[in-house]
Amino acid sequence: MTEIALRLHHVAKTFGRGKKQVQALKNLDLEVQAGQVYGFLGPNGAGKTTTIRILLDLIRPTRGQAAIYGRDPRRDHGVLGQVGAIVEGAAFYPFLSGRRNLEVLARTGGAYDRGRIDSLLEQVGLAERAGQYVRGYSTGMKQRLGLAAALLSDPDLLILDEPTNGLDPAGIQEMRVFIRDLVDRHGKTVFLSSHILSEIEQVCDRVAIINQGALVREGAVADLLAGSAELRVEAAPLAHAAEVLAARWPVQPNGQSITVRADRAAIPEVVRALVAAEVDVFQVVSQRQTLEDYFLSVTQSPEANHA
Amino acid sequence: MLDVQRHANLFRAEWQKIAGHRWATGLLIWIFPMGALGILAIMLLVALLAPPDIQRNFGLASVNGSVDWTEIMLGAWNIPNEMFGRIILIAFTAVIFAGEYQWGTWKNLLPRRRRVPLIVNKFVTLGAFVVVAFGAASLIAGLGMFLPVKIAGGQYGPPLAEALQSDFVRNFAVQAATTFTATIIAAVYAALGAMLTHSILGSIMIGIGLMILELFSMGIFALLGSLFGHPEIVGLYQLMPSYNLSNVASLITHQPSVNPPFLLNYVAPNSLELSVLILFVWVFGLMTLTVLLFRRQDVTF
Amino acid sequence: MNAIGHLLCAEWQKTTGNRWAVGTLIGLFPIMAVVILILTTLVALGGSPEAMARMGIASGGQVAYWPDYFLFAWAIPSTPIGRWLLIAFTAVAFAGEYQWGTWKNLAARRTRASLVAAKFVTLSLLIVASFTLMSLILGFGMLLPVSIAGGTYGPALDGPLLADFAGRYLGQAGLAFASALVAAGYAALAAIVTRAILGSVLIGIGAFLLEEGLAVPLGLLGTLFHRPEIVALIQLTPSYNLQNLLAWARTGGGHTFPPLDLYAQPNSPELSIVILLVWIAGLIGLTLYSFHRQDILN
Ligand SMILES: Nc1ncnc2c1ncn2[C@@H]1O[C@H](COP(=O)(O)OP(=O)(O)OP(=O)(O)O)[C@@H](O)[C@H]1O
Ligand SMILES: [Mg+2]
Repeated sequence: MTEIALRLHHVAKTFGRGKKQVQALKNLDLEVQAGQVYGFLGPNGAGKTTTIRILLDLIRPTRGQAAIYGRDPRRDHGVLGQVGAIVEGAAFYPFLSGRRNLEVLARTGGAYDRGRIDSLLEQVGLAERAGQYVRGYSTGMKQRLGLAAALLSDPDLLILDEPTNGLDPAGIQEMRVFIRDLVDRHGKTVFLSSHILSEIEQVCDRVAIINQGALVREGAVADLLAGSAELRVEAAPLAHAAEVLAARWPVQPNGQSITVRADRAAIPEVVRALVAAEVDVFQVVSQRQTLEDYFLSVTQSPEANHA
Repeated sequence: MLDVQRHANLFRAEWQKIAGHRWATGLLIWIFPMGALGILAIMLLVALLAPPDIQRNFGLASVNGSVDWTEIMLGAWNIPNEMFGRIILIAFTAVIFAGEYQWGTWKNLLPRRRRVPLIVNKFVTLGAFVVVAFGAASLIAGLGMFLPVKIAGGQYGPPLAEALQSDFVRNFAVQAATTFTATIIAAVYAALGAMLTHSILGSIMIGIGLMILELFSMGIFALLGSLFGHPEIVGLYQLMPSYNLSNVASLITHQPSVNPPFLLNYVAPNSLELSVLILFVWVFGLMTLTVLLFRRQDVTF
Repeated sequence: MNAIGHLLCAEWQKTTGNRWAVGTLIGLFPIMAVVILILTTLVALGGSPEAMARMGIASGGQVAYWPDYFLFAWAIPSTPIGRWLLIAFTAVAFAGEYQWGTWKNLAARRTRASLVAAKFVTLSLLIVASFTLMSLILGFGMLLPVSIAGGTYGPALDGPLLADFAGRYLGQAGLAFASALVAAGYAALAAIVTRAILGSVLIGIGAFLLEEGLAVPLGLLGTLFHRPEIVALIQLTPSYNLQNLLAWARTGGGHTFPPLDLYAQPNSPELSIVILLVWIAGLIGLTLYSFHRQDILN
């Protein structure tokens, strides 16, 4: 039985009052086991950052509880000592150098270790620019400094809100390797929100997808994508083909082709049906659905909007 | 032991951060010792170059030829009680408290430390800056004036032993302590403003607004008194911080009472103990209010 | 609406949309007028005669002089607090764009000169609107407490009085406007240079203090170099000329003080006006110029 690193229980959050009221989270339940990379997905305004702020005790939930290693950060602030975080774009004192910013944060946490700061700056690739004012940092440099800040206290759980925001392709690649390494070799847990779905697909063990403040899907990446294969069919006349296939499979017209929700095994069946209806078949290709397709299908379906 | 070190680290973090904001500290806190240095430089020029009557205008050679350094040292501590000094210190407080909102850095700090020590530490750091700045200004002026006065041929007295025997030490301590308390009260106004407005300028505006309100409080109470036909309402003024601060100072240094005769028609002056108690309640009441406001706040910036 | 109209309209919406800043820094003046009115009305209703006298309410057949109440608002921009508020307001309008990182959105759409000009025009409009409102509220409003208290709100209006009052009113308002523009000029320039609201406020206020305390270093320099007439340079500063114009309007003579009176005649009103105009144009021009050359980084 593995440890639960992070849990949300019936968490709801409403901002503002009266007419200006915004329900950012509605009854969110989530459980993240230790020792994995957990992806947290959702369109803009879905409530990802709000969730992360609640976990870090930056805002108080209107209802429900958050727990980190079984302890509520509201009542038991000490548990946040085991957490490192980047929240919504790293922000630092612009009038201090990168190193001085880390020093101030380390001291705020109660301890200062110069050697650790040096090695973290090295790791995130800022060693050479660490003496410069953050005012002059690029977006990606600030994000790297944010990662260093999150790692200052050698946390067991990392909560990263869009960590690759502003990073260059090499930086993104490094971040991916770095995160996997933290989990696979150092036994840490990473909770990671992102928009870049290919990223999540490559790095995460499990994902949760939220939309409009509510959980839409949750599961291992492999499971979510399994059994959701598609066929892309090019045929003429297209409209007639769609009509024929729609009788047996879910079909979606897609410009020059139609997309059919069926797996590879169904191809002969599809072709037979089309030929029988005197439709000319040019191509039938099996496509594995990407997380992106899956994400779009669950966050845009009317069912998701009800949840 | 470990805990002491944690607190010391927290204090150093705040000090490093604020001191690193060069132009804000330069304009808002180091300006006081630097001003003392500037005045000293002018005095030296005058002592070296100006004719005697001008030197006298600058207070270098008084009629009986003696300049009192104890007054100079006390005088430096009086700057925060002047309107302008007070406003500058309010602005400094605003940078310390509202800056975190403006730079979006609360989110970095809060997971690392509980909110109460973070806020209390800001007050401690502010106090430390004030003591260092005005202590330095007082020393620079008090010691430094020796030179121009001597050059101008005046006496710089009284001798140290004599000063120590007289009331100087006590007066200095009282002056420093009351000024410090007054500064902290103005600072808490600004800190409250920071919690409410989340902006440096807003914090300054609220700080100055509350300060002005307090300044006029006697007039306001008197007005209310005459409106409701209960002139004794004006006695409420004795609950205000500024009244009690000057009351404490005058009681300890045996100087004439600060109680306006108008006020004495209705109420007896506060005793020393009562005044100290009232000040205590103000300082801790307002600090607690600041902490409470901050504890309940959603940090979404 | 033409392009300039749109620009001004956008600037107006943006400035007044910052409720908080407009409310405390510029809306404060008409609000203060209303508060004063309410207070005096309360006193007129229930206060003792001394309280009424202290609030300036004429009771029992005395005369309250209404032109004073109309003019009161326009005296504010020349007081330190009024000036500081105007500086802070200008600082928000100019330095706010740096702080919010919004210059980059604007600078791509318009020439920089027109952006800065639009800001100055909007500020001027807001300032005039605010003080006019305050003046009208107080001027007309005071009729209420004064008549409740049984006083007379006089003098009765006639042609010559009206002409005289109109002249004084315009003069006072013009002076207030000039004073406000100088303050705004300092603050705007400081905003461009420091790129921060607080920096702009501090430097704006500092410039005024420096200007008003200038007599001391000038006097000192004069004695050091045995050229005491140097102190007369003070007659080139905006503060001096504003005070000078006020003095001319009040007493018919210029503004001077020892030891300045030993070395120079007060400026004539015309000269003062010219000097003020040069300052205002200079500050605004310098603001435009610095902004024009500036890299917009955030
Ligand atoms: N301080 C606030 N006041 C009012 N509403 C807020 C506040 N903060 C967030 N919200 C609202 O809460 C909802 C969720 O916002 P949140 O920042 O959590 O979204 P997100 O999933 O992180 O989006 P993104 O992908 O754009 O970062 C949004 O509708 C947002 O407008
Ligand atoms: Mg977000």
